[in-house]
Amino acid sequence: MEQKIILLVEDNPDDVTLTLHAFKKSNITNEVVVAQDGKEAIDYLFGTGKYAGKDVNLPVLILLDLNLPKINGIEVLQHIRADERTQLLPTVILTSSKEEQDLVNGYRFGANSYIRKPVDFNQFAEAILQLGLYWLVLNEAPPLKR
Amino acid sequence: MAEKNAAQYSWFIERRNITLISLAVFFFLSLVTFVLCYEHHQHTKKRFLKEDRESAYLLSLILDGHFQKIIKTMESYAGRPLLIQAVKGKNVEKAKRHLMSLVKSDPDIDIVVIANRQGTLWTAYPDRPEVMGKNFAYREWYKGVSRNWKPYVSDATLRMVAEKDVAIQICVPFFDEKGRVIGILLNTQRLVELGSIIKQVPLDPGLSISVADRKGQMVYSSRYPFDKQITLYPFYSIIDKVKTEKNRSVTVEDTSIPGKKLYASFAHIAGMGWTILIGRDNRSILLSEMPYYILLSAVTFLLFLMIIFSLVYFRKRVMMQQAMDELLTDEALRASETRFRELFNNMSSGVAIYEAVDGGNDFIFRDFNRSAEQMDKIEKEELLGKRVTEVFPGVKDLGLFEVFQRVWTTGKTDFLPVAFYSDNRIAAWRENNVFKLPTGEIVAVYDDVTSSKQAEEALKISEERFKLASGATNDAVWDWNLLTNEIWWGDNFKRFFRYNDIEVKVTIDSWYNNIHPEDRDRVVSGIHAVIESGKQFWSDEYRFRRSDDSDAYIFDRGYVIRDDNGKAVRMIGAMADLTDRKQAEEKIRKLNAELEQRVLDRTAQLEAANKELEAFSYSVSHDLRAPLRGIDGFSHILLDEYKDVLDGRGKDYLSRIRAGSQHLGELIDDLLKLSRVSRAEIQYETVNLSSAAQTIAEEFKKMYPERHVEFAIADNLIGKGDPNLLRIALENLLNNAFKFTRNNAHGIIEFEMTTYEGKQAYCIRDNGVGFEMEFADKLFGAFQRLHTKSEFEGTGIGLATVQRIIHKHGGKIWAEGKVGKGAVFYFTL
Repeated sequence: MEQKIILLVEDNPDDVTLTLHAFKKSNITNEVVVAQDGKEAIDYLFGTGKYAGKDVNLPVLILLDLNLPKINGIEVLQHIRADERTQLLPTVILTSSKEEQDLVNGYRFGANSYIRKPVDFNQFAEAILQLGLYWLVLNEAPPLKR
Repeated sequence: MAEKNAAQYSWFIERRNITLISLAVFFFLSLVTFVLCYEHHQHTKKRFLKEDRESAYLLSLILDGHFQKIIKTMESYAGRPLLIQAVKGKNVEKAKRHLMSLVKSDPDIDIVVIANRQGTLWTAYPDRPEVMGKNFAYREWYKGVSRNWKPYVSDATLRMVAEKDVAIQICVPFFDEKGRVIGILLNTQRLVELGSIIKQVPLDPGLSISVADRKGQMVYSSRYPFDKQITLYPFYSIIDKVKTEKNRSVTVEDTSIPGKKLYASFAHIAGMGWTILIGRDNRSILLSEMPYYILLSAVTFLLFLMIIFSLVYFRKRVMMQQAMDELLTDEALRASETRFRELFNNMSSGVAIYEAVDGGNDFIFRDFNRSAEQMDKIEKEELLGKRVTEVFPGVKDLGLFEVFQRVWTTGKTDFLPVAFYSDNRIAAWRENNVFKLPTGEIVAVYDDVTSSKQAEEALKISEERFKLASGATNDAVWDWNLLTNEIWWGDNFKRFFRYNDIEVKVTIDSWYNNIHPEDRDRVVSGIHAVIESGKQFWSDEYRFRRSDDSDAYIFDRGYVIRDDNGKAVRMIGAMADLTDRKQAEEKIRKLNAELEQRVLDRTAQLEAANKELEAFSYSVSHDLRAPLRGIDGFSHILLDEYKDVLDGRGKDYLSRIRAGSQHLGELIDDLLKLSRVSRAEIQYETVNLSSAAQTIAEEFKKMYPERHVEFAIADNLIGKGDPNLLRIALENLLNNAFKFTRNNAHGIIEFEMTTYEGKQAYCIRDNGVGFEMEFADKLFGAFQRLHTKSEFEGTGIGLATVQRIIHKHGGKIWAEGKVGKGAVFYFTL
């Protein structure tokens, strides 16, 4: 059985650590691939850049921060939704921003969810738990194309 | 034309006149007829009488011949020698034989007698012995024959014999051979044959023939039959008088039929002295003329009828014509009346018509036109029939009354020049023209010249003011006569443009020519447009050349004065020298331009700052929170996973770190909210504040089920504003109230509309801890708190946000409170 990969697009290592910790605490054992900027996320998804030639599996869930170096989250989302291979992938925006504009753009370009990272870790961990339960267990994923 | 005809024939149309005319025609025709008849009658009479005379003459010839024949016969006997012998010898027997032969020669011979020279009868045949030997010298026949011994025919005598008819004696003397008279042969001749001779002459009806002897005794008459007596011809005496040849016809009256005339014509039998008389009855003449009369009468009557018919026909025609004329005249008269009535009522002058009463001592109103009604502010009906002195008591003072009397007396038109009239109703200047109508009524035509009089006065005053003002003002006053194109300049003109007296020209060209060429066309066409369009005011700004060729900036205003026909005659204006002001304005304009540029720059800077602020806010929301999350997260992990290596104090510190980071997170969130509120554009909508508050309250109750708080929210509180912002404000206010009633066992939070100092305001009241009023001002400052964090958590930004929202809506917010007694927040929108 193939591993269900989660792609975490996050530039802040603290947030990466805390997110992974929260996954662990929530007993989510899926492989988490971390892309530290938008470019890397795109390279991973489409086999370009440093992932060129590597045989990687597409994730079952993408957790996408918005404020990213090089290529920001909204642009990454646009790429995902523009490509046939990835356009159906569940993509959840996980960000500190509560700006209306970010919310609107996130949903406009096809985000499946928009979750704001709370400052309180308990709340954060709770959010991650709920997120994992929902998208990885409850939600029926779209059929993936190879 | 029509009227003339009608007048010409008017007498003619009268029925009575028609009768008169008919009678006149009748009489005229009768007269003519009569004259014609009379003439005809005279002519006919003359003709007839001439015929009668000829007939009489013819008869006289015939009778003369007849008697001459008898006389010749007798003379032949008297000349017989044998008889002469017998007479000589008075041989009766011999003589008798001759006499017998003579008697037998003529049946009319009654008896033949021979008398001697002395007239004694001595023989007769047939025998008449009773007269033999008697002398008859006394008889007329003897006197006739013995006068000159010529044959003689005697007058009529009545025969003595039995018949007693009329007879005559024809006497012829006997002469012997020596020519001595020896005897007289006497023949008594009856007149029977005479009648048959006369009857041979044809007689018209009405004609009568008579023969009269010398004495006028009728020897024969077809009219007057012999009646045993010899009678005289009735008119012989008249005829006797006119025995001239010329007048052989005379008119005599027929006495037998009184009134009827009889004409008698006559002729004498030559040598006998007898007369033939032909009588003609006037009636017979008339009878013979009857056809003529009838014809003439018929013709005349027809003529009369024709004339009468023509007359009646002509009358009918004239009457019809007249009726038509009358119709036309009526129409024309009505049209004329309407025309003049309209004229009367629509003329601008007032007209009043008066009738003199009391011998010219007063005048009463007979008519009054509409203009007069308006001028004198009185209705026509009110004054008709009233006295002028009653309606216009001031008329005598005005002098108009005397004019009325003068005009009424002399009949000459008069004029009362402009005069002031006043009574309790009107006060006005009047100009009166008074004249007299052919009917004797007096007409006053008058005009209200009050306005022109006032205008005149006003003009005089304004002229004075104008001159005074032109001296007093700083403007260069001008007065342009549009008829002569001369312009008068006020003194300031010289000062403005640095001219000497000599250089101030008085023609309008001096103005045209000194306008700056770039402005000239516009200014000149503009001023002429005003003059020609009928407007009054003109103004323009332009450059005007000074004597030193520099330009002055002028603001020129003009006022057109027009005559009654609206023709512009004059223009008055004033030039203000704007040169200094223009320069100042130019400065201001430049400054304004600079200011504008500065504003643009600032706006751009502000926009940039806003952008920066937005970017800042964004990064704050992201970048400030990320490390906080790290601090909190890792502290948590430490507390969670490394609790065994940490003592109580360490754990406490980590807990404080966490609390601090979480508070900072809230602060950041609230600040972001405040900044968002500040930047937000208000979208005005009608917002149901009651239901919004209700929703918020429900959330609180769900979040804090352990709290016992009663929300009393009034229904249907409606506000106008941005729904999101108002919701944020309400959330903050209700959150505040909820928070500060935490210590109450039973919290009450009310939201309602109330009246505060006479104005409506929304109000949120709680029974919480309240606050000290002296700090009420500080409530709404950012980061201002009236309670310690340990008492009540919070960032101190909530009320600042609320105030910002309310202010953005143009409303007010204020609070009242008392420690321990709760707080009240009021706001308006």
